[in-house]
Amino acid sequence: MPSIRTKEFTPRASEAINNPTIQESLGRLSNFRQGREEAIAEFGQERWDEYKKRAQEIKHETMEHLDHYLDMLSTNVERAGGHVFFAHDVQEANDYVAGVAQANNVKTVIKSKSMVSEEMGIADVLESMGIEPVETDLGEYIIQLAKEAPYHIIAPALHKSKEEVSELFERILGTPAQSDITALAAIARKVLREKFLKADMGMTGANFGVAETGTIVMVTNEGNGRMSSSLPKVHVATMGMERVIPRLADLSTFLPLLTRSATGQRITSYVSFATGPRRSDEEDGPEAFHLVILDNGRSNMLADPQLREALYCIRCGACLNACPVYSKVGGHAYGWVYPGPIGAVVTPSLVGVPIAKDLPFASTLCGACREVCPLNIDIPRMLLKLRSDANEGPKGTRKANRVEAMVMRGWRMTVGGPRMFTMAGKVATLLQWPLSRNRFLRRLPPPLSGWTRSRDFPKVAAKPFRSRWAAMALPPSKEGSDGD
Amino acid sequence: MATKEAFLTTVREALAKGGQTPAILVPEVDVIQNATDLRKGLAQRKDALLSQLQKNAVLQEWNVVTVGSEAEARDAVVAIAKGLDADLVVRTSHPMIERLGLDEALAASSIESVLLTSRSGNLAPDRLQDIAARADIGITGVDYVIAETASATLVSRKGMTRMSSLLPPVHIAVAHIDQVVENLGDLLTLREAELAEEDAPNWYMNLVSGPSKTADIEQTIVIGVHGPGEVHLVIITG
Amino acid sequence: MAARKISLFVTCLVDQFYPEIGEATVRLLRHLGVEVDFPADQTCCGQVALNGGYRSHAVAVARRFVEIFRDSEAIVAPSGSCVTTVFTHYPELLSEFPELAGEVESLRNRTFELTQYLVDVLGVEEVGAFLPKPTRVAYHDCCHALRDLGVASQPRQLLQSIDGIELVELTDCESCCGFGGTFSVKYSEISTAILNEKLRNVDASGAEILTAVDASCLMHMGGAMRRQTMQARPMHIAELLASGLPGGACA
Repeated sequence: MPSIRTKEFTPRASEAINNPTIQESLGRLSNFRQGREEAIAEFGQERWDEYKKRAQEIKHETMEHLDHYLDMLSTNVERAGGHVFFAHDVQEANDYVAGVAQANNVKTVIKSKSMVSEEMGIADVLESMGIEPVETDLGEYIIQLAKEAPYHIIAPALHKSKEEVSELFERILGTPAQSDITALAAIARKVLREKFLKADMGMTGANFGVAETGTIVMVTNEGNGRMSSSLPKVHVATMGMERVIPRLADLSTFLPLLTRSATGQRITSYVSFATGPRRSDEEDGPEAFHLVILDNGRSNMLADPQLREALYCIRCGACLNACPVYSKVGGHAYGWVYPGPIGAVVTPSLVGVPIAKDLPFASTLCGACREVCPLNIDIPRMLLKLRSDANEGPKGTRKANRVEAMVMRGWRMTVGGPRMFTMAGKVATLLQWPLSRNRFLRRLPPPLSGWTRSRDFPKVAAKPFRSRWAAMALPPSKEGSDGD
Repeated sequence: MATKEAFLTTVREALAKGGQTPAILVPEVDVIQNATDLRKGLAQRKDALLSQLQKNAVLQEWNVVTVGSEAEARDAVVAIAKGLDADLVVRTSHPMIERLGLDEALAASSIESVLLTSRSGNLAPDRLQDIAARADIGITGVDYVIAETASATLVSRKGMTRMSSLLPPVHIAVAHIDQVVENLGDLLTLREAELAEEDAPNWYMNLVSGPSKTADIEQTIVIGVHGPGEVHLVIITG
Repeated sequence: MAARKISLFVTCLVDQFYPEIGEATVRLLRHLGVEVDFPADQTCCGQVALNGGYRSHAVAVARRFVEIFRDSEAIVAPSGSCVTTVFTHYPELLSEFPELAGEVESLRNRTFELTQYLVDVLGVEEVGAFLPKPTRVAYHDCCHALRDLGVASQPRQLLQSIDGIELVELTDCESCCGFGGTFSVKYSEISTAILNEKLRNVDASGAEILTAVDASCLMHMGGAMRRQTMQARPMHIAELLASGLPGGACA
């Protein structure tokens, strides 16, 4: 399992905000946003909404009977000659994959981008066994060379400038400096082509696992997913248990939602359907196929009716692109595998609320994520639930700031009735009196200093509205009479 | 180690239900009948589907050539290969490709054409990959083409290798107008019928909808990463 | 005919910090022939606690709110986010009191943001306000008003009707200003980064007045506009819509 750095949210966010290269990269998220909007306009808003609704219904049906569909999926993968392993946690998943690699005497593994394999940290496990794991998605390859975590669900190296990529290639691959992006991609193509041709195991994720047929569907643009599932003699696919969908036909609902939400594409360059290993009459393709289905805390989300719908996520990344916070702090601040709004729900749910407490709180709750989500996942509501879990959850898991909790108790008393409320206002007017001569405060003590570092704060009014109401209570008669 | 049963028990507990799974599933549909009906509908809309495909294929960055006959298709393929100064092409044994008689036509332009198979020919199985990796062009037929997304659909079979359309830098897909369907839903309907008839539980299929590409560096689109960077769609209307 | 008698929920922020917004709201409503009352027991909707992760406190405050506004025909607030707390969150917050379910359902459907009430309920097309001199005004879409209540065209329509206004659209008018309640204090640096982008767009619009339906967002943006001595100044939409109306000063 990759290291969990969720506790470093604030310093890492600060680092990103103060890094001009990163801010420039994050500025490019507007391309994704625009691409998505144009793709939906082309598709037709009404039709889009119908697809969203149907997708939600299918996911609802699937999740409410997840045991049933997982059973069906595994039965059909096995019927097609594949092996299925159900892993309770990443340790089990890694052990299984390591075992497959060992049994097949594997030296090189080519990997296609997969968030679940990031969650497993399988690359490190393989490396420690003396097996070479090679990320083959260009973005993943870049961050593998840089020894970093993915920055974005669908654009892992979003934060890297071409200069940084060039330096990285120069340092690690020994290639000459390049300022041309096409040339940089060509370098990767050349280096990775050799790996593809000699690899003895391919690992991919699964955007969808079709229960009805036992088919793993991979949605890619570069061709590395096809390579990974076609050239080596062993193909291992990993998927979170929520990736299952009932029918092949359901893809006609999900695929347009996924690609148009993610990159604004009508469809990706490749959509690959793998059902078991190569057929007896086929001349290429893997001789063995393994599917690893991972729980790793997902069953906890399933068990919680308020979080269950987060499992509907198809990992399109649209919520990241729409999020004002992600657009400033980037992916690494979130400290684990899944960044952005959906990460702020998934990460605390999978690694534990107490150590990932910042994530649900570091949101303005603006709702842009929910608005763009093709599955209508109500992320803000889930963040509220996780916030409450963090402050009010069972003893021992609670992580509320004691001062803050005290302030909140005081607030509760204050708003408990008009008398206390009015009195609190009066006290505030007295306290603020020496601080400023005009209507604003420029400097407040902690924790309110967080506000005044960049914003003036208004003074409490000398006479609140409720005290003015008496004078307004009786309207001028001419206006009171022109209603009907 | 988690067994399947233990895993599914955890899932059932999370769903707060016992060992019994309510049987709501996939409504029974007559996939064969559905496919038959669909085919009839498609046959009546050939011209509209063709123009939809032509338009979308360009948007998906296919080089589109529409020809009236197989002979013209052969000439078109040869012209592309000559234009690229190809020395070696690999091809599949898709019936459409077999009918074009490409080997002779290409040989006449001193281009070597190799059927990528170890079954009937003289290639050793472990040589397929080397040859495909050296080839300048891969030529394939298709099973279907989706008009809405310009997706050439390739199901792998004997003589129809996965790598033919993957390893060479250029891919030429030859399709016939009768293979055009409107959308992904249509394709899956036809595919389900095939699966029911074939009774082959394992299969591999690719939708190819344009050149290999990436935007992983600075969101700048680069064509031709791992798969073919140049793709041609030859559509035969006659 | 739609309800013409409303209870004003002035919100705690307006009550204590911006009473003039409350006054403008009353003037505006009365001018349009609406009878306004002010239930004196009201304080807060509970949003602060809900968003802060103190759900149990929010539940207690929500219960109070239901008691206080039980008999009101309609409840109108000069705030989209406070109405959202009632509209979007009360059903869940008060779900532990099944006996209140019917009442909560009815209450949430009788609670309106000011411009929503004017346009959607009363069918108001113009309010008769005027500005003393031609003024460029930019409207900022507050997140909860926009996404939870669907308030977007209503305020624009009313603003357009003001004599002397030149309404300009902000680039990315629908993106958050970075306030988020306690977020703005706890994650000050992130909040400020989001805010600065918003202010760049305000500046680029050439607006003299930045308006919105929420005093909280305006407090946030306005606080920074003041700090940066920007040309634009914040003004709540109730004050703009009431400007030039009898009984009050011009904007």
